[in-house]
Amino acid sequence: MPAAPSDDRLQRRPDAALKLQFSLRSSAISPRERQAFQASLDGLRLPKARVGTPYEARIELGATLRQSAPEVRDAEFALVRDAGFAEIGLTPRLDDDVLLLAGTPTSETTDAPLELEIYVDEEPFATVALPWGVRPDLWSLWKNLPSPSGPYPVEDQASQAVGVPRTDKLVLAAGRRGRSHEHRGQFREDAFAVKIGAPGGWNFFAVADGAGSAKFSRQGAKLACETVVDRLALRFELSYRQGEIPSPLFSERRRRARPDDAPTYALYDGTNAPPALVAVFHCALYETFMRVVAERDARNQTLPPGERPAQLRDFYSTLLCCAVRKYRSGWAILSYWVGDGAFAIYGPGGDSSQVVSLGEPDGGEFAGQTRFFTSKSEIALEPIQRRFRAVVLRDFDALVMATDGVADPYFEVADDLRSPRKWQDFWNLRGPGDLFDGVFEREIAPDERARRLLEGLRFKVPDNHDDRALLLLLNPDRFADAPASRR
Amino acid sequence: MARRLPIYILIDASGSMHGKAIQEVKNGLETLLESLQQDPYALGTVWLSLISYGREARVLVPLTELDLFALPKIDAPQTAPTNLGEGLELLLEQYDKEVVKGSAERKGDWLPILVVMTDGVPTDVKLYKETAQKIATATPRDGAPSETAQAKYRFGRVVACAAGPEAKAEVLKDFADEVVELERMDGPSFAAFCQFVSDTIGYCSQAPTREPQELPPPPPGMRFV
Repeated sequence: MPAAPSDDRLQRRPDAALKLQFSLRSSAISPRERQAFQASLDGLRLPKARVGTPYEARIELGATLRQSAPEVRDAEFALVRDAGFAEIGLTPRLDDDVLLLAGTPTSETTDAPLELEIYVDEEPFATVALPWGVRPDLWSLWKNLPSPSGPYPVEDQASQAVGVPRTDKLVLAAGRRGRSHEHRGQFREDAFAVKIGAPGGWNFFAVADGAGSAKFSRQGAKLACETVVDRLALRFELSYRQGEIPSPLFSERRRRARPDDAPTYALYDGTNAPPALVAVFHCALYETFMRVVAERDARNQTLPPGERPAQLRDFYSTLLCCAVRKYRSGWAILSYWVGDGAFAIYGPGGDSSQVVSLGEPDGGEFAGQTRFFTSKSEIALEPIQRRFRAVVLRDFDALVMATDGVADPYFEVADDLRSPRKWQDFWNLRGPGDLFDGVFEREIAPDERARRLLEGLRFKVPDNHDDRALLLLLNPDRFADAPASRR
Repeated sequence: MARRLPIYILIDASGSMHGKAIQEVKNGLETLLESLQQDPYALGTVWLSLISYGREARVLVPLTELDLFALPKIDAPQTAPTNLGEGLELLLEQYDKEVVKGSAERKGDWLPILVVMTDGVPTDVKLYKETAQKIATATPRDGAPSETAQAKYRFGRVVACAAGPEAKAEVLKDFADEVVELERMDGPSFAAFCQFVSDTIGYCSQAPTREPQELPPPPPGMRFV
């Protein structure tokens, strides 16, 4: 189905006559050399320009002449006249012996050639036509086709806002189908899940990104999120009952006795955290894994004729999940992260110049080679220990869970996730059309904040069109002023 | 820097391509480029390089962002052998220089796609055999899994085009995981091949890690070896 022409196309200039007239003055250029010069110019190829994208092309007059006429040393070039460029937002100018065509084009042209009119010693000598044009704005090329029909339908977008009882913090979560999937009419493959106020005062959050290459990854991501928050809640409750949740990390009694003992923050991984905590995650993750296995088996029970049996890899998804609890003297955050994206605590201990990454994003040697939750090799003690984190802290500004669709545009490499500066830039994304546009304004309802965040997920960053999911646990008032201005 | 999908296109510029044939290749590439440059997804990720080989191999265009890629003049001399080995050797040099592997400081490129077209058989046989062995595709060929581990240069897809009666598709299977045979090296056939390449690139640029069996079918009239 062809897309309706965008507004940009209406600005098309059918009669675009783009001319650059320049003169060459030299005491000793032979007719043969002129011909050679003309032929070389004729062989030049300029990249085409695009509406809205900064453009610069260099026409190397001097170098071209020197190739054709090595003997000529006193050549002087002058730009005599240009036509048609001002209307499309480009400015030609001569920089010594290089003709520059620069600017950000404002309207499209037909692919009419760019005419170079050559004057030699004031006399018109030749015209060279170079293939050229201004193409439509990149953003106008994206279509928005509905999701297909098929098994495991999902909504193209979702958002949620919910306060965490007895704390100053609010969960804001939003997920949106990426431009690439809109363009091809494919499903959103990101998911998130929130479970607030489970027994024991724990709260559970999950974010997942289904693998682009796996055909049911949308379901894998959804099941992973929904199951893991449920299972974590159950496992925590069981462990509490059996007295397995150990006291050293979280002892209320100890804190009350010596309130100054509460660490600004302390970070543990799966090797030095109490084994019972890692075991809770191990059990919940195993059960989540088995839920996906059951889904695969159910699918294969009623396999449509001709369809190959589903495999676990068809449900591949990343997974970021955590358990969060507020104590009188501080917070405990226990987390598990497999795959890419971003998972961090910003402003631990109330220090906005710090950030704690809750693990490492899994990136391969080449892009797109990440790790997935439903790999058999991941559901074992060693990898879970490696991916587990436990943080105890007096306070924090924000807990952030993001799929790579949100993380990649702003944190290009793994190191960026540990850079407080990058994080401050992140929170400052609040201009029109930016991720946090209007989200942190004072005195707005939580639902409205979530709605604005969902809208913000439409942000335009070139080359970043993946599905996007972002979950924040924060006190929006602390972000009402941009972090930089708070300092 | 965003994740790039590098595409290397190797063009046969041997003597047999002189004249009309090379013009058809140029027309085909022009159409290919035109169609890719309207695909917003490809525009975000595809980088193209054009290499020609004949008597010697030349980088006509180094790896360049799709939107800034301008097709150069392409010529084939009246007489020149088909030194595909040299072409592949130069390709691998460019790969070393241009393809970015991931690190903590930088996201790596997607596995590159290689497209090779020829209307003959390699004349520099020894070099050809050597270089072909260094090329590994994401999926092992002929069920030989050890090969990918040894070969240093990994590609996401390797498509070869054997055009005309002189080309030997079997030979190209030394490095390609898909060989497309064109019965003649003429405009419509090459245009169909370019459309196939365009579909492949468009498809891969959307999901570069997708399994090969899910690739779009080749256009009708095209034989797979």
